[in-house]
Amino acid sequence: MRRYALTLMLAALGLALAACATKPQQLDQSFWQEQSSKKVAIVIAKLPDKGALYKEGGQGLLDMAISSVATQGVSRHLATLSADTFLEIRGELAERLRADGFEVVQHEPFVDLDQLPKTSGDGLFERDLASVANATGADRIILFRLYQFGASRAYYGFIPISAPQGLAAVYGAMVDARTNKLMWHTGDSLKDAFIKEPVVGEWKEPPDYPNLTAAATRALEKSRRVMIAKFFSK
Amino acid sequence: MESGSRASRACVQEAWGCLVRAVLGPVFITMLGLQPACTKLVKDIELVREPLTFSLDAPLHTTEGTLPPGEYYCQYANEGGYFFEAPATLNGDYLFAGGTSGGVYVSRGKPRSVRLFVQDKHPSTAYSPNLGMYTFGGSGFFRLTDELPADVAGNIAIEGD
Repeated sequence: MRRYALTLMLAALGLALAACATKPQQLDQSFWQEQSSKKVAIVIAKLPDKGALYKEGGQGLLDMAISSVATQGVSRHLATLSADTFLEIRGELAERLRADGFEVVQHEPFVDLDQLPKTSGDGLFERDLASVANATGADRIILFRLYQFGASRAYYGFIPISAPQGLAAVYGAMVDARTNKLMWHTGDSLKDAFIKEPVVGEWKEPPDYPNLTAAATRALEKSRRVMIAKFFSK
Repeated sequence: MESGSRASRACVQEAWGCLVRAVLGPVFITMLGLQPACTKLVKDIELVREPLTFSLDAPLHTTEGTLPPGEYYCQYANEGGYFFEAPATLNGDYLFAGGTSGGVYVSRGKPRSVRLFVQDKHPSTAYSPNLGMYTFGGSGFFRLTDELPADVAGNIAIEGD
């Protein structure tokens, strides 16, 4: 009986979590008529300091401790990786928007979202981007946030059940600079946000793990491509 | 006396349950997790020299969801063909469908045949009364599924193929 109750509780929790996920918002096509009148800023939220190995699946504290010890080598290597290539999304998107006739500002400094005031209200971006709007003079702010990168690996307890795969978790949004209202965003569903790339060849080649590193790099590249494709999708 | 034997039987049953969960469970689950990888997942992949693309003009309905229109991008191939990844996750056509990453697999040579592929991207967690919670999948590799209409790949020109 207790087992059925647990199953039901888990199902209810799953449904509740699914209901909480913010759904993506499509860009209103009227945006494409604004090119002569609106200035667009492209900004990047502060990048993760280093790459990491993200463990997926059910793990207890002891499992986490054991698997952390077992993956020290690969974690140490992933921590040496930089996500700087993600910054190229600014130039790539700016080029396409300029080709469509928009005036575009590439805001160089990272935006540290944690330092910005929180907002509340339906349809608003979670942080107040007024300071970015003032600094750029933009009418529309396109923001990209890379919040995880490196590799992910599935575990059952402390037992790895798959090889690691390259990972980049990314979110994109466009905000009306005057009202802080969301005009487009990619949602926070795990399925959409997580870009994963398989490792081609053997992954376990310490100390540099070249094939795993290449998969992590491809995940970063793909995250840029996916964000831009989503922005331009009609 | 009888209650003592019942208690010892219960103890043996409990110990057996523990053994299944603690020892056989992980082994079974590991095999379960690997089983699709052994039978269906395409793990022997290589990178293509230059990324290839083609455009899908209209949504395409499949059993796993709807493939979105847009530019399909190929970075991976195996000896049988090319994996063109969709620009976004598949859209759900019915409850619990969609949200899957995948795309169109185009065979080498001509005439081309096309199939749907999905990525084994996220581990799944399930519950079994004997094993408790367990996890499987999440390897990142591709799994070939349905045949798709041949005209999807009708105009794909793959250089050097």
